[in-house]
Amino acid sequence: MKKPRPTGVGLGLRWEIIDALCEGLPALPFLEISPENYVGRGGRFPALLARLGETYPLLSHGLSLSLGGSDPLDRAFLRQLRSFLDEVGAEHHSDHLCFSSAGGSVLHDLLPIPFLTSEVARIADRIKHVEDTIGRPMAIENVSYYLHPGEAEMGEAEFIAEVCEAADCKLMLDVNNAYVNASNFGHDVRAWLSKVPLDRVIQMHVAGHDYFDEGTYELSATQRAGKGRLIVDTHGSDVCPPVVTLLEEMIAKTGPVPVVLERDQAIGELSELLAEVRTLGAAYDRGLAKHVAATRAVAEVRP
Amino acid sequence: MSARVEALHAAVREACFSPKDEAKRDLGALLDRHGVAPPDRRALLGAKPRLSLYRKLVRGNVLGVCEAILERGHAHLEASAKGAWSDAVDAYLDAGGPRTPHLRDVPSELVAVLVPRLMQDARVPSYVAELFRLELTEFRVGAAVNEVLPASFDDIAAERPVVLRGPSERLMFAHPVHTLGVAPTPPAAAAETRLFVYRDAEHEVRVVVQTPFADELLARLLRGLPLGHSIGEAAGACGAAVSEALLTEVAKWLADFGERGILLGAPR
Repeated sequence: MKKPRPTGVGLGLRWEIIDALCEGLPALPFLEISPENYVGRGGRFPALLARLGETYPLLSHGLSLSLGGSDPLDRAFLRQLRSFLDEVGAEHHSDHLCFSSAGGSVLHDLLPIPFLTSEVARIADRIKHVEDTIGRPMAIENVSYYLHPGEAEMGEAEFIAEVCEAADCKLMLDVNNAYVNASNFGHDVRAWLSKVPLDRVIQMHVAGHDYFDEGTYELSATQRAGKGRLIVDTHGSDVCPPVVTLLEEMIAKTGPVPVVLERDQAIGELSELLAEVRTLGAAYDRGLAKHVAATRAVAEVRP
Repeated sequence: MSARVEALHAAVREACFSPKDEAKRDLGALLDRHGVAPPDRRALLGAKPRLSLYRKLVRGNVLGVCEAILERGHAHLEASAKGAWSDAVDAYLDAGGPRTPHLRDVPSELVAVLVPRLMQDARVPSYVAELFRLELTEFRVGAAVNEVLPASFDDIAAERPVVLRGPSERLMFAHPVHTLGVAPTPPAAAAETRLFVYRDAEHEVRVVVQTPFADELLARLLRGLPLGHSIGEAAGACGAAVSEALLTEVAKWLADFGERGILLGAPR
Protein backbone atom coordinates (compact mmCIF):
# COMPACT_ATOMS: atom_id res chain seq x y z
CA MET A 1 0.00 0.00 0.00
CA LYS A 2 1.28 3.47 -0.84
CA LYS A 3 2.29 5.42 2.25
CA PRO A 4 0.51 8.77 2.75
CA ARG A 5 2.70 11.70 1.72
CA PRO A 6 4.11 13.44 4.83
CA THR A 7 2.73 16.85 5.76
CA GLY A 8 3.39 19.30 8.57
CA VAL A 9 6.73 20.60 9.81
CA GLY A 10 9.71 18.27 10.08
CA LEU A 11 13.43 18.61 10.66
CA GLY A 12 16.49 18.45 8.46
CA LEU A 13 18.56 15.61 9.96
CA ARG A 14 21.98 16.76 11.15
CA TRP A 15 24.61 14.70 12.89
CA GLU A 16 24.64 17.05 15.85
CA ILE A 17 21.12 15.88 16.75
CA ILE A 18 21.09 12.33 15.44
CA ASP A 19 21.85 10.67 18.79
CA ALA A 20 19.17 12.68 20.59
CA LEU A 21 16.66 11.82 17.87
CA CYS A 22 17.45 8.11 18.10
CA GLU A 23 17.14 8.22 21.86
CA GLY A 24 13.95 10.22 22.18
CA LEU A 25 12.18 9.50 18.88
CA PRO A 26 10.16 12.72 19.33
CA ALA A 27 6.89 13.22 17.50
CA LEU A 28 7.81 14.57 14.06
CA PRO A 29 5.98 13.94 10.81
CA PHE A 30 9.19 13.22 8.88
CA LEU A 31 12.92 13.92 8.60
CA GLU A 32 14.76 15.31 5.61
CA ILE A 33 18.15 13.84 4.74
CA SER A 34 20.95 14.65 2.30
CA PRO A 35 21.95 11.48 0.42
CA GLU A 36 25.49 12.82 -0.06
CA ASN A 37 26.06 12.19 3.63
CA TYR A 38 25.25 8.49 3.31
CA VAL A 39 25.89 7.32 -0.24
CA GLY A 40 29.03 5.18 -0.39
CA ARG A 41 29.49 5.43 3.35
CA GLY A 42 29.25 2.90 6.13
CA GLY A 43 29.61 3.08 9.89
CA ARG A 44 27.79 4.88 12.60
CA PHE A 45 25.65 7.43 10.77
CA PRO A 46 24.12 5.11 8.17
CA ALA A 47 23.38 2.67 11.01
CA LEU A 48 21.60 5.41 12.97
CA LEU A 49 19.75 6.52 9.84
CA ALA A 50 18.47 2.99 9.35
CA ARG A 51 17.06 3.11 12.89
CA LEU A 52 15.41 6.48 12.30
CA GLY A 53 13.97 5.25 9.00
CA GLU A 54 11.95 2.70 10.96
CA THR A 55 10.13 5.53 12.75
CA TYR A 56 10.08 8.49 10.37
CA PRO A 57 9.33 8.89 6.68
CA LEU A 58 12.49 10.26 5.01
CA LEU A 59 12.50 13.05 2.44
CA SER A 60 15.53 13.43 0.24
CA HIS A 61 17.30 16.71 -0.46
CA GLY A 62 20.63 16.82 -2.26
CA LEU A 63 23.49 19.27 -2.36
CA SER A 64 25.73 18.29 -5.21
CA LEU A 65 23.95 17.71 -8.52
CA SER A 66 25.07 21.09 -9.89
CA LEU A 67 21.96 21.30 -12.05
CA GLY A 68 23.07 24.64 -13.48
CA GLY A 69 26.66 23.52 -13.87
CA SER A 70 28.80 23.29 -16.96
CA ASP A 71 30.42 19.95 -16.13
CA PRO A 72 28.65 16.73 -17.15
CA LEU A 73 26.33 15.20 -14.57
CA ASP A 74 28.06 12.58 -12.43
CA ARG A 75 26.52 9.37 -13.81
CA ALA A 76 28.10 7.10 -11.22
CA PHE A 77 26.74 9.23 -8.40
CA LEU A 78 23.28 9.30 -9.99
CA ARG A 79 23.21 5.51 -10.06
CA GLN A 80 24.25 5.36 -6.41
CA LEU A 81 21.64 8.00 -5.62
CA ARG A 82 18.90 5.92 -7.20
CA SER A 83 19.83 2.87 -5.12
CA PHE A 84 19.90 4.97 -1.99
CA LEU A 85 16.52 6.58 -2.71
CA ASP A 86 15.03 3.14 -3.37
CA GLU A 87 16.46 1.95 -0.07
CA VAL A 88 15.00 4.77 2.02
CA GLY A 89 11.75 4.84 0.05
CA ALA A 90 11.99 8.49 -1.02
CA GLU A 91 9.20 9.45 -3.40
CA HIS A 92 11.02 12.43 -4.86
CA HIS A 93 14.39 14.10 -4.68
CA SER A 94 15.24 17.78 -4.62
CA ASP A 95 18.37 19.77 -5.29
CA HIS A 96 19.34 23.38 -5.88
CA LEU A 97 19.03 25.57 -8.94
CA CYS A 98 22.67 26.58 -8.93
CA PHE A 99 26.09 25.34 -9.97
CA SER A 100 28.61 23.73 -7.67
CA SER A 101 31.24 22.35 -10.00
CA ALA A 102 33.17 23.85 -12.90
CA GLY A 103 36.14 22.74 -14.97
CA GLY A 104 36.37 19.46 -13.03
CA SER A 105 36.59 21.22 -9.67
CA VAL A 106 33.90 20.87 -7.04
CA LEU A 107 33.26 24.05 -5.09
CA HIS A 108 31.12 22.43 -2.40
CA ASP A 109 28.79 25.40 -2.22
CA LEU A 110 25.74 26.71 -4.03
CA LEU A 111 26.94 29.18 -6.65
CA PRO A 112 24.63 31.51 -8.57
CA ILE A 113 23.68 30.93 -12.19
CA PRO A 114 22.80 33.52 -14.84
CA PHE A 115 19.14 33.98 -15.65
CA LEU A 116 19.49 33.61 -19.41
CA THR A 117 16.89 32.39 -21.89
CA SER A 118 19.45 30.04 -23.42
CA GLU A 119 20.03 28.40 -20.03
CA VAL A 120 16.40 27.40 -19.50
CA ALA A 121 16.36 24.50 -21.98
CA ARG A 122 19.88 23.35 -21.08
CA ILE A 123 19.15 23.16 -17.35
CA ALA A 124 15.71 21.61 -17.98
CA ASP A 125 17.42 18.86 -20.00
CA ARG A 126 19.77 18.16 -17.10
CA ILE A 127 16.85 17.96 -14.67
CA LYS A 128 14.98 15.56 -16.99
CA HIS A 129 18.10 13.45 -17.30
CA VAL A 130 18.38 13.25 -13.51
CA GLU A 131 14.71 12.30 -13.20
CA ASP A 132 15.12 9.54 -15.77
CA THR A 133 18.19 8.18 -14.03
CA ILE A 134 16.90 8.26 -10.47
CA GLY A 135 13.45 7.08 -11.52
CA ARG A 136 11.40 9.58 -9.54
CA PRO A 137 10.29 13.25 -9.74
CA MET A 138 12.78 16.04 -9.09
CA ALA A 139 12.10 19.32 -7.37
CA ILE A 140 14.38 22.31 -7.79
CA GLU A 141 15.08 24.71 -4.96
CA ASN A 142 15.42 28.47 -5.29
CA VAL A 143 18.76 29.37 -3.69
CA SER A 144 19.82 32.46 -1.83
CA TYR A 145 22.29 34.39 -3.96
CA TYR A 146 24.24 37.54 -3.38
CA LEU A 147 25.24 38.47 -6.89
CA HIS A 148 23.85 37.79 -10.32
CA PRO A 149 26.76 36.49 -12.40
CA GLY A 150 26.57 38.82 -15.40
CA GLU A 151 23.71 40.45 -17.20
CA ALA A 152 20.31 38.91 -16.50
CA GLU A 153 17.79 38.47 -19.28
CA MET A 154 14.93 37.90 -16.86
CA GLY A 155 14.21 37.93 -13.15
CA GLU A 156 14.87 34.98 -10.85
CA ALA A 157 11.17 34.14 -10.40
CA GLU A 158 10.56 34.12 -14.15
CA PHE A 159 13.66 31.98 -14.65
CA ILE A 160 12.49 29.47 -12.06
CA ALA A 161 9.03 29.36 -13.62
CA GLU A 162 10.47 28.78 -17.08
CA VAL A 163 12.84 26.04 -15.94
CA CYS A 164 10.03 24.26 -14.03
CA GLU A 165 7.80 24.49 -17.09
CA ALA A 166 10.47 23.30 -19.53
CA ALA A 167 11.52 20.41 -17.28
CA ASP A 168 7.98 19.77 -16.04
CA CYS A 169 9.49 19.37 -12.60
CA LYS A 170 8.42 20.22 -9.07
CA LEU A 171 9.47 23.21 -6.98
CA MET A 172 11.03 23.06 -3.54
CA LEU A 173 10.20 26.53 -2.31
CA ASP A 174 12.69 27.89 0.18
CA VAL A 175 10.76 30.68 1.83
CA ASN A 176 13.77 32.03 3.66
CA ASN A 177 15.81 32.19 0.45
CA ALA A 178 13.01 34.16 -1.20
CA TYR A 179 13.04 36.56 1.75
CA VAL A 180 16.85 36.84 1.82
CA ASN A 181 17.07 37.63 -1.89
CA ALA A 182 14.22 40.14 -1.73
CA SER A 183 15.89 41.90 1.21
CA ASN A 184 19.37 41.93 -0.34
CA PHE A 185 18.23 43.08 -3.79
CA GLY A 186 15.41 45.32 -2.58
CA HIS A 187 12.41 43.75 -4.26
CA ASP A 188 8.98 42.80 -2.95
CA VAL A 189 9.02 39.20 -1.76
CA ARG A 190 5.27 38.79 -2.21
CA ALA A 191 5.46 39.98 -5.80
CA TRP A 192 8.30 37.47 -6.31
CA LEU A 193 6.25 34.67 -4.76
CA SER A 194 3.31 35.51 -7.03
CA LYS A 195 5.49 34.76 -10.05
CA VAL A 196 6.85 31.35 -9.11
CA PRO A 197 4.70 28.31 -9.95
CA LEU A 198 3.10 27.58 -6.59
CA ASP A 199 1.08 24.77 -8.18
CA ARG A 200 4.35 22.90 -8.58
CA VAL A 201 5.45 23.27 -4.94
CA ILE A 202 5.97 19.83 -3.45
CA GLN A 203 7.86 20.85 -0.34
CA MET A 204 9.14 23.97 1.45
CA HIS A 205 12.19 24.97 3.45
CA VAL A 206 12.57 27.54 6.18
CA ALA A 207 15.72 28.54 8.04
CA GLY A 208 17.32 31.39 9.88
CA HIS A 209 19.93 33.83 8.58
CA ASP A 210 22.43 36.40 9.80
CA TYR A 211 23.45 39.94 8.86
CA PHE A 212 26.96 40.45 7.56
CA ASP A 213 28.84 43.66 6.92
CA GLU A 214 29.18 44.46 3.25
CA GLY A 215 32.83 44.58 2.18
CA THR A 216 34.40 42.64 5.03
CA TYR A 217 31.72 39.94 4.94
CA GLU A 218 32.10 39.38 8.64
CA LEU A 219 29.15 38.73 10.93
CA SER A 220 27.67 42.13 11.73
CA ALA A 221 27.51 43.27 15.32
CA THR A 222 24.13 44.78 14.43
CA GLN A 223 21.89 41.88 13.57
CA ARG A 224 19.31 43.88 11.67
CA ALA A 225 18.79 45.41 8.25
CA GLY A 226 20.64 48.60 7.42
CA LYS A 227 22.97 50.33 5.03
CA GLY A 228 26.18 48.42 4.47
CA ARG A 229 24.74 45.11 5.61
CA LEU A 230 23.44 42.11 3.75
CA ILE A 231 21.76 38.93 4.84
CA VAL A 232 23.69 35.69 4.48
CA ASP A 233 21.69 32.47 4.49
CA THR A 234 23.68 30.85 7.27
CA HIS A 235 20.98 28.53 8.65
CA GLY A 236 22.55 29.64 11.91
CA SER A 237 19.72 31.31 13.80
CA ASP A 238 15.99 30.97 14.43
CA VAL A 239 13.55 31.58 11.59
CA CYS A 240 12.70 35.29 11.66
CA PRO A 241 9.06 36.40 12.17
CA PRO A 242 8.57 37.75 8.61
CA VAL A 243 9.57 34.35 7.21
CA VAL A 244 7.14 32.60 9.59
CA THR A 245 4.38 34.90 8.29
CA LEU A 246 5.37 34.15 4.70
CA LEU A 247 5.30 30.43 5.45
CA GLU A 248 1.73 30.76 6.74
CA GLU A 249 0.74 32.67 3.60
CA MET A 250 2.34 30.08 1.33
CA ILE A 251 0.68 27.13 3.07
CA ALA A 252 -2.64 28.96 2.68
CA LYS A 253 -1.95 28.90 -1.06
CA THR A 254 -0.31 25.52 -1.61
CA GLY A 255 -2.13 23.42 0.95
CA PRO A 256 -0.48 20.73 3.07
CA VAL A 257 3.00 20.23 1.67
CA PRO A 258 5.84 19.16 4.01
CA VAL A 259 7.93 21.99 5.46
CA VAL A 260 11.48 21.41 6.67
CA LEU A 261 13.26 23.45 9.31
CA GLU A 262 16.93 23.60 8.30
CA ARG A 263 19.63 24.36 10.85
CA ASP A 264 23.32 24.02 9.97
CA GLN A 265 25.17 26.36 12.31
CA ALA A 266 24.92 27.16 16.00
CA ILE A 267 22.83 24.04 16.42
CA GLY A 268 21.56 23.91 19.98
CA GLU A 269 19.78 21.16 21.86
CA LEU A 270 17.21 19.07 20.05
CA SER A 271 14.59 20.41 22.46
CA GLU A 272 15.21 23.93 21.15
CA LEU A 273 14.76 22.80 17.56
CA LEU A 274 11.58 20.96 18.49
CA ALA A 275 10.25 24.11 20.16
CA GLU A 276 10.90 25.99 16.92
CA VAL A 277 9.18 23.22 14.96
CA ARG A 278 6.13 23.73 17.18
CA THR A 279 6.13 27.49 16.51
CA LEU A 280 6.35 26.82 12.78
CA GLY A 281 3.69 24.13 13.13
CA ALA A 282 1.28 26.70 14.57
CA ALA A 283 1.88 28.97 11.55
CA TYR A 284 1.46 25.95 9.30
CA ASP A 285 -1.87 25.11 10.92
CA ARG A 286 -3.12 28.69 10.56
CA GLY A 287 -2.13 28.65 6.89
CA LEU A 288 -3.77 25.29 6.38
CA ALA A 289 -7.01 26.51 7.99
CA LYS A 290 -7.06 29.41 5.54
CA HIS A 291 -6.37 27.00 2.69
CA VAL A 292 -9.25 24.75 3.73
CA ALA A 293 -11.60 27.72 4.11
CA ALA A 294 -10.61 29.07 0.70
CA THR A 295 -11.06 25.65 -0.91
CA ARG A 296 -14.51 25.30 0.66
CA ALA A 297 -15.51 28.77 -0.48
CA VAL A 298 -14.50 27.91 -4.05
CA ALA A 299 -16.45 24.66 -3.86
CA GLU A 300 -19.55 26.47 -2.58
CA VAL A 301 -19.65 29.03 -5.40
CA ARG A 302 -19.33 26.30 -8.02
CA PRO A 303 -22.72 25.36 -9.50
CA MET B 1 26.67 24.69 -23.09
CA SER B 2 27.39 28.23 -24.16
CA ALA B 3 30.86 29.68 -24.02
CA ARG B 4 29.28 32.65 -22.28
CA VAL B 5 28.15 30.60 -19.28
CA GLU B 6 31.31 28.54 -19.18
CA ALA B 7 33.35 31.75 -18.98
CA LEU B 8 31.23 32.97 -16.07
CA HIS B 9 31.61 29.70 -14.19
CA ALA B 10 35.37 29.70 -14.75
CA ALA B 11 35.62 33.27 -13.47
CA VAL B 12 33.63 32.44 -10.34
CA ARG B 13 35.81 29.39 -9.78
CA GLU B 14 38.99 31.45 -9.96
CA ALA B 15 37.49 34.10 -7.69
CA CYS B 16 36.82 31.41 -5.08
CA PHE B 17 40.02 29.39 -5.40
CA SER B 18 42.78 31.93 -6.11
CA PRO B 19 45.14 32.40 -3.16
CA LYS B 20 44.78 36.15 -3.30
CA ASP B 21 41.32 37.64 -3.55
CA GLU B 22 41.61 38.26 -7.31
CA ALA B 23 38.05 39.56 -7.58
CA LYS B 24 38.91 42.23 -5.04
CA ARG B 25 42.36 42.99 -6.47
CA ASP B 26 41.35 43.42 -10.08
CA LEU B 27 37.94 42.11 -11.10
CA GLY B 28 38.25 43.39 -14.69
CA ALA B 29 41.48 41.45 -15.24
CA LEU B 30 39.95 38.30 -13.73
CA LEU B 31 36.93 38.52 -16.03
CA ASP B 32 39.15 39.19 -19.05
CA ARG B 33 41.31 36.14 -18.28
CA HIS B 34 38.23 33.97 -18.75
CA GLY B 35 36.82 35.82 -21.76
CA VAL B 36 33.67 36.92 -19.93
CA ALA B 37 31.26 38.46 -22.48
CA PRO B 38 31.12 42.29 -22.52
CA PRO B 39 27.54 42.62 -21.16
CA ASP B 40 28.35 40.26 -18.29
CA ARG B 41 31.64 42.05 -17.65
CA ARG B 42 29.85 45.38 -17.45
CA ALA B 43 27.18 43.97 -15.14
CA LEU B 44 29.70 42.39 -12.78
CA LEU B 45 31.88 45.49 -12.62
CA GLY B 46 28.81 47.57 -11.84
CA ALA B 47 27.49 45.25 -9.13
CA LYS B 48 28.49 45.06 -5.46
CA PRO B 49 31.79 43.13 -5.23
CA ARG B 50 30.27 40.02 -3.70
CA LEU B 51 32.47 37.46 -5.42
CA SER B 52 34.64 37.96 -2.35
CA LEU B 53 31.75 36.74 -0.20
CA TYR B 54 31.48 33.58 -2.29
CA ARG B 55 35.25 33.14 -1.94
CA LYS B 56 34.84 33.26 1.81
CA LEU B 57 31.92 30.82 1.85
CA VAL B 58 33.60 28.27 -0.44
CA ARG B 59 36.89 28.38 1.44
CA GLY B 60 35.04 28.22 4.73
CA ASN B 61 33.40 24.95 3.72
CA VAL B 62 36.69 23.40 2.58
CA LEU B 63 38.55 24.55 5.66
CA GLY B 64 35.72 23.53 7.97
CA VAL B 65 35.72 19.88 6.94
CA CYS B 66 39.53 19.67 6.85
CA GLU B 67 39.95 21.22 10.29
CA ALA B 68 37.27 18.91 11.70
CA ILE B 69 38.73 15.67 10.33
CA LEU B 70 42.39 16.68 10.70
CA GLU B 71 41.96 18.47 14.01
CA ARG B 72 45.11 17.18 15.74
CA GLY B 73 47.38 17.43 12.71
CA HIS B 74 46.20 20.97 12.05
CA ALA B 75 46.90 22.00 15.65
CA HIS B 76 50.39 20.43 15.71
CA LEU B 77 51.27 21.91 12.31
CA GLU B 78 50.18 25.40 13.32
CA ALA B 79 52.24 25.15 16.50
CA SER B 80 55.39 24.19 14.62
CA ALA B 81 55.05 26.22 11.43
CA LYS B 82 52.58 29.05 11.62
CA GLY B 83 50.97 29.67 8.24
CA ALA B 84 51.99 26.31 6.73
CA TRP B 85 48.42 25.04 6.94
CA SER B 86 46.83 28.00 5.17
CA ASP B 87 49.66 28.04 2.60
CA ALA B 88 48.93 24.38 1.83
CA VAL B 89 45.19 25.06 1.57
CA ASP B 90 45.96 27.94 -0.81
CA ALA B 91 48.18 25.67 -2.92
CA TYR B 92 45.51 22.96 -2.98
CA LEU B 93 42.78 25.35 -4.09
CA ASP B 94 45.03 27.14 -6.56
CA ALA B 95 45.82 23.80 -8.20
CA GLY B 96 42.10 23.27 -8.88
CA GLY B 97 40.77 22.45 -5.42
CA PRO B 98 38.45 19.56 -4.67
CA ARG B 99 37.89 16.98 -7.37
CA THR B 100 35.79 14.76 -5.17
CA PRO B 101 32.03 15.23 -5.07
CA HIS B 102 32.07 14.14 -1.42
CA LEU B 103 32.97 16.89 1.00
CA ARG B 104 34.13 14.22 3.46
CA ASP B 105 36.90 13.19 1.02
CA VAL B 106 38.32 16.70 0.66
CA PRO B 107 40.76 16.27 3.62
CA SER B 108 42.27 13.26 1.90
CA GLU B 109 42.92 15.34 -1.24
CA LEU B 110 44.38 18.13 0.86
CA VAL B 111 46.75 15.78 2.70
CA ALA B 112 48.07 14.54 -0.67
CA VAL B 113 49.18 18.13 -1.35
CA LEU B 114 50.12 18.94 2.22
CA VAL B 115 52.45 16.06 3.14
CA PRO B 116 55.05 16.59 0.36
CA ARG B 117 55.16 20.25 1.35
CA LEU B 118 55.75 19.35 5.00
CA MET B 119 58.67 17.11 4.00
CA GLN B 120 60.35 20.18 2.47
CA ASP B 121 59.64 22.45 5.43
CA ALA B 122 62.47 22.34 7.97
CA ARG B 123 60.25 23.88 10.64
CA VAL B 124 57.87 20.90 10.67
CA PRO B 125 58.80 17.85 12.79
CA SER B 126 58.47 14.58 10.88
CA TYR B 127 55.82 13.19 13.23
CA VAL B 128 53.26 15.75 11.98
CA ALA B 129 52.88 14.03 8.60
CA GLU B 130 52.35 10.74 10.44
CA LEU B 131 49.66 12.34 12.57
CA PHE B 132 47.82 13.50 9.45
CA ARG B 133 48.01 9.96 8.05
CA LEU B 134 46.65 8.51 11.27
CA GLU B 135 43.72 10.93 11.37
CA LEU B 136 42.83 10.24 7.76
CA THR B 137 42.98 6.50 8.40
CA GLU B 138 40.74 6.81 11.44
CA PHE B 139 38.21 8.73 9.40
CA ARG B 140 38.42 6.28 6.49
CA VAL B 141 37.90 3.28 8.75
CA GLY B 142 34.98 4.98 10.48
CA ALA B 143 33.24 5.75 7.20
CA ALA B 144 34.06 2.69 5.08
CA VAL B 145 31.27 0.51 3.82
CA ASN B 146 31.53 -2.92 5.35
CA GLU B 147 29.83 -6.26 5.30
CA VAL B 148 30.26 -8.58 8.25
CA LEU B 149 30.94 -12.11 7.02
CA PRO B 150 29.35 -15.06 8.81
CA ALA B 151 31.85 -16.72 11.12
CA SER B 152 32.01 -19.18 13.96
CA PHE B 153 34.45 -19.46 16.89
CA ASP B 154 33.93 -23.19 17.01
CA ASP B 155 35.47 -23.57 13.57
CA ILE B 156 38.77 -21.81 14.31
CA ALA B 157 41.60 -24.13 13.29
CA ALA B 158 45.24 -23.82 12.24
CA GLU B 159 44.52 -24.84 8.67
CA ARG B 160 41.71 -22.31 8.19
CA PRO B 161 41.73 -18.52 7.77
CA VAL B 162 39.98 -16.32 10.31
CA VAL B 163 37.35 -13.62 9.90
CA LEU B 164 38.26 -10.22 11.34
CA ARG B 165 35.70 -7.49 11.75
CA GLY B 166 36.23 -4.86 9.11
CA PRO B 167 36.96 -2.27 8.12
CA SER B 168 40.47 -1.98 9.47
CA GLU B 169 43.94 -0.82 8.45
CA ARG B 170 47.50 -1.43 9.65
CA LEU B 171 49.86 1.49 10.02
CA MET B 172 53.54 1.76 10.80
CA PHE B 173 55.04 5.00 12.07
CA ALA B 174 58.35 6.23 13.41
CA HIS B 175 56.58 7.97 16.30
CA PRO B 176 53.78 7.00 18.72
CA VAL B 177 51.45 9.57 17.18
CA HIS B 178 48.37 7.74 18.46
CA THR B 179 49.19 9.13 21.91
CA LEU B 180 48.83 12.74 20.75
CA GLY B 181 45.87 14.97 21.40
CA VAL B 182 44.92 18.39 20.08
CA ALA B 183 47.31 20.11 22.52
CA PRO B 184 50.43 20.50 20.36
CA THR B 185 52.84 18.62 22.60
CA PRO B 186 55.18 16.48 20.49
CA PRO B 187 55.59 12.74 21.22
CA ALA B 188 58.14 11.95 23.95
CA ALA B 189 60.57 10.24 21.57
CA ALA B 190 60.77 8.55 18.20
CA ALA B 191 59.86 4.86 18.42
CA GLU B 192 58.74 2.44 15.78
CA THR B 193 55.00 2.10 16.27
CA ARG B 194 52.72 -0.42 14.63
CA LEU B 195 49.04 0.32 14.89
CA PHE B 196 45.86 -1.50 14.02
CA VAL B 197 42.92 0.83 13.37
CA TYR B 198 39.52 -0.86 13.41
CA ARG B 199 35.85 -0.16 13.85
CA ASP B 200 34.07 -2.00 16.64
CA ALA B 201 30.56 -3.41 16.72
CA GLU B 202 29.23 -0.04 17.94
CA HIS B 203 30.92 1.70 14.97
CA GLU B 204 33.49 3.39 17.20
CA VAL B 205 36.97 3.68 15.66
CA ARG B 206 39.68 2.24 17.90
CA VAL B 207 43.45 2.04 17.68
CA VAL B 208 45.52 -0.77 19.21
CA VAL B 209 49.30 -0.99 19.32
CA GLN B 210 50.74 -4.19 17.87
CA THR B 211 54.06 -5.91 18.42
CA PRO B 212 56.07 -6.46 15.23
CA PHE B 213 55.10 -10.14 15.31
CA ALA B 214 51.38 -9.41 15.80
CA ASP B 215 51.50 -6.88 12.99
CA GLU B 216 53.12 -9.41 10.64
CA LEU B 217 50.55 -11.99 11.68
CA LEU B 218 47.71 -9.52 11.05
CA ALA B 219 49.07 -8.69 7.62
CA ARG B 220 48.74 -12.34 6.62
CA LEU B 221 45.39 -12.97 8.27
CA LEU B 222 43.96 -9.92 6.53
CA ARG B 223 45.11 -11.45 3.23
CA GLY B 224 43.03 -14.55 4.07
CA LEU B 225 45.90 -16.95 4.72
CA PRO B 226 45.27 -19.86 7.13
CA LEU B 227 46.06 -19.20 10.78
CA GLY B 228 48.84 -21.80 11.13
CA HIS B 229 50.53 -20.72 7.92
CA SER B 230 50.28 -17.07 8.96
CA ILE B 231 51.92 -17.81 12.32
CA GLY B 232 54.82 -19.57 10.62
CA GLU B 233 55.36 -16.79 8.09
CA ALA B 234 55.04 -14.01 10.67
CA ALA B 235 57.57 -15.72 12.91
CA GLY B 236 59.93 -16.05 9.96
CA ALA B 237 59.51 -12.36 9.09
CA CYS B 238 60.53 -11.47 12.66
CA GLY B 239 63.42 -13.94 12.74
CA ALA B 240 61.72 -16.06 15.41
CA ALA B 241 60.97 -19.75 15.65
CA VAL B 242 57.48 -21.15 16.21
CA SER B 243 57.93 -22.09 19.84
CA GLU B 244 55.64 -22.88 22.75
CA ALA B 245 56.18 -19.36 24.04
CA LEU B 246 55.22 -17.86 20.68
CA LEU B 247 52.08 -19.97 20.45
CA THR B 248 51.14 -18.85 23.96
CA GLU B 249 51.56 -15.25 22.74
CA VAL B 250 49.33 -16.03 19.75
CA ALA B 251 46.66 -17.54 21.99
CA LYS B 252 46.66 -14.41 24.19
CA TRP B 253 46.51 -12.19 21.12
CA LEU B 254 43.59 -14.15 19.67
CA ALA B 255 41.76 -13.96 23.01
CA ASP B 256 42.32 -10.20 23.15
CA PHE B 257 41.05 -9.76 19.58
CA GLY B 258 38.07 -11.95 20.44
CA GLU B 259 37.25 -9.79 23.48
CA ARG B 260 37.51 -6.65 21.41
CA GLY B 261 35.10 -8.13 18.89
CA ILE B 262 37.69 -8.00 16.10
CA LEU B 263 38.14 -11.76 15.77
CA LEU B 264 34.81 -13.20 14.71
CA GLY B 265 35.90 -16.81 14.18
CA ALA B 266 36.53 -18.90 11.10
CA PRO B 267 34.47 -18.43 7.95
CA ARG B 268 31.20 -20.34 8.02
